[in-house]
Amino acid sequence: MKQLLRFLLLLLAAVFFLPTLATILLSFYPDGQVGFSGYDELFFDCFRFYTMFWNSVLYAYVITALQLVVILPAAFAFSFARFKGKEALFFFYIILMMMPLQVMILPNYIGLRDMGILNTRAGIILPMIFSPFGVVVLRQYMKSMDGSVIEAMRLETNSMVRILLHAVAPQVKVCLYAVGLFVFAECWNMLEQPMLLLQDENLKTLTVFFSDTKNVSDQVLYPASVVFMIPILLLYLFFHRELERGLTLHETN
Amino acid sequence: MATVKPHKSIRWNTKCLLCLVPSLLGLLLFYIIPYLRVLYYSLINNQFKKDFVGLKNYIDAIQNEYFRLAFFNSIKLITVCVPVLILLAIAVSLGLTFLLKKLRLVRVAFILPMLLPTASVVLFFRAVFGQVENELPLYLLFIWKNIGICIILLTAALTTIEDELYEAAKLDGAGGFSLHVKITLPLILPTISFSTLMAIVNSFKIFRESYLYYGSNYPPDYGYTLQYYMNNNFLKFDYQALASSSVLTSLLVAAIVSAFLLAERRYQR
Amino acid sequence: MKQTKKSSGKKHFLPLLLLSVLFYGVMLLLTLTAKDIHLARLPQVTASRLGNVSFTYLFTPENGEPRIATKQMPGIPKELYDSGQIFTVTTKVTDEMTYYYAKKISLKVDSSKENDTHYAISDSFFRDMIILSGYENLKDGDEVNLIKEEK
Repeated sequence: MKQLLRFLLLLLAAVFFLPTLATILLSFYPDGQVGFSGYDELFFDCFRFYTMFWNSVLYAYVITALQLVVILPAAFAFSFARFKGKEALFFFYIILMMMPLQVMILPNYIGLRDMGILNTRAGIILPMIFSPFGVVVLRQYMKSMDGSVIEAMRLETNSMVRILLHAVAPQVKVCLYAVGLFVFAECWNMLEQPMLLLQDENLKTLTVFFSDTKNVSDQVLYPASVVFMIPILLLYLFFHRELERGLTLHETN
Repeated sequence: MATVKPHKSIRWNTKCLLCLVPSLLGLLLFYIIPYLRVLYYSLINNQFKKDFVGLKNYIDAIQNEYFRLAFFNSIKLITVCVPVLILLAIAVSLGLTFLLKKLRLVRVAFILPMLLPTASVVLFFRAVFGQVENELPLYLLFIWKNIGICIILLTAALTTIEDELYEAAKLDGAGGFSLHVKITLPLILPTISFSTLMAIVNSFKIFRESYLYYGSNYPPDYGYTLQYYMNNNFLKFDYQALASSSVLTSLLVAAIVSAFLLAERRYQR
Repeated sequence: MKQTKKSSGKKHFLPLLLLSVLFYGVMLLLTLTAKDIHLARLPQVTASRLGNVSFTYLFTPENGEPRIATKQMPGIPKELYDSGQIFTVTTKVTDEMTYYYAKKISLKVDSSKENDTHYAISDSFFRDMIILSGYENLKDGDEVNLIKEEK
């Protein structure tokens, strides 16, 4: 009985793995023949692929880096500061975190328009930096933090920055990596914002490339998919352990 | 906190508080204030005339047949997909924790879809399911994508159950299936409920998958969800309809999330 | 990566780092060289307007003897005409770059005019760009790399 269940589980895993594997295999199979012509056409005929690729890379890394800088102090504040309405504010963060993008896209658009950064890179990067997801997850993780290390640090220095960097960050390193990975994946996958908030083709990301399938020939799409997968795969291989250990979301009290 | 002089403690507290400022400021600038403006838009009839029309926009939205179709589809997605997803996630998590302890690699198969860009796999899904005339491919895509987060949460919870509990239960005569039903499930119930919440919330986000799969702004009827409604209004510059549907959806989501969290808080006491 | 603090005890750190560097390096290389490689793989052609060439012909005035006269007219090299591969150049401008294509045309020559190396074109107002070299294996609609232009 156990063997059967094991086998079923493995089968299921194979099924789940299938789309990824198939995409990779099919990229070498353009037009029914084995060959590299898909990649060939992608690399040497499709120049806007590069622009969009580097845009995606830029947005993802910059947003992830900056968001980590913002959420570390914020989560720390939630953990250690005392003020009225702290839990209510945190609750508000949670609700905001759960909002689907479509609800926020109009506010986003209007906000950016009024700030004059609508068709710019800043318009994509800035809102994403302040997404509440990281704060919530990091704060939950900080509950298991050791306060004495921070106390010891307080005796040594007055600078909050140093305390955060040397006493807090090392303890929550795992969670930071996990959140970073998650945020990166989110940015890498970003579709609505570049599509709706950017006019200039030069600023758009690779996800838009895929949504615009009329202008690209079919055999380019599979290789493009594979190339698109690689950066996030690399990061996952780096941080997969942290991903599983760092997301303790369920203690929401 | 350690015993320090009162004024130092207040200074410390203030410093901690200040740490919140960047996040809060950004939130205010880019989320809260714009949202309030949208709320304002939803209560007026025209960007230029700015007559206050109260709830008229909301009534129009609810009576709009596309909104209804979208809403219906979204609800259908939730009620069908989420239970399947959760049950599958529970089954797989149990399997991974107890049956396949050694093979850590298997987990990758379930977690990877969560991170992989949808755009990369949509081609394959389209190739396989292109002929299918209903919402099944979309549901499968949803399950494929979202099982990862549930499995991460559930397996993390499962590993925190101590072995002694199982030993004790086995001594009492429980075995196999009933063992799990009686011990495991109640213990991980909070995580299950949270996973359900995440799944419901993510179901609202299915737009991206749907858009890439159908490749246009006008999917077949069964694929038309709330996000398409809002997206199309956005493209048509029909801000009133968009504003009111955004607010409605946000209220719906807020209600669901609040209900869950409050229920969970009560359960823990 | 976000920051370069890496914990020890990560088993496959170095190979992954190398792989990442390799990947991004290759992408960077491709980004910088893709256009040049693209152009290098196209048929390399030169093109220009047909210049005027001297042609001699038999001219019979209304009342007089036929005599030999010369005239300057656009002339097409005999080899080119005989090969049948006469193309003009069309362009397509996009955001990324300007594409050149070969478009096959047919020309009429004026057989009364003579010259050792060229045929005379009937239409003396012909001023289109003709591909003068690299036309050997071209087909209509092929993309080409225009090396030199003389307008």
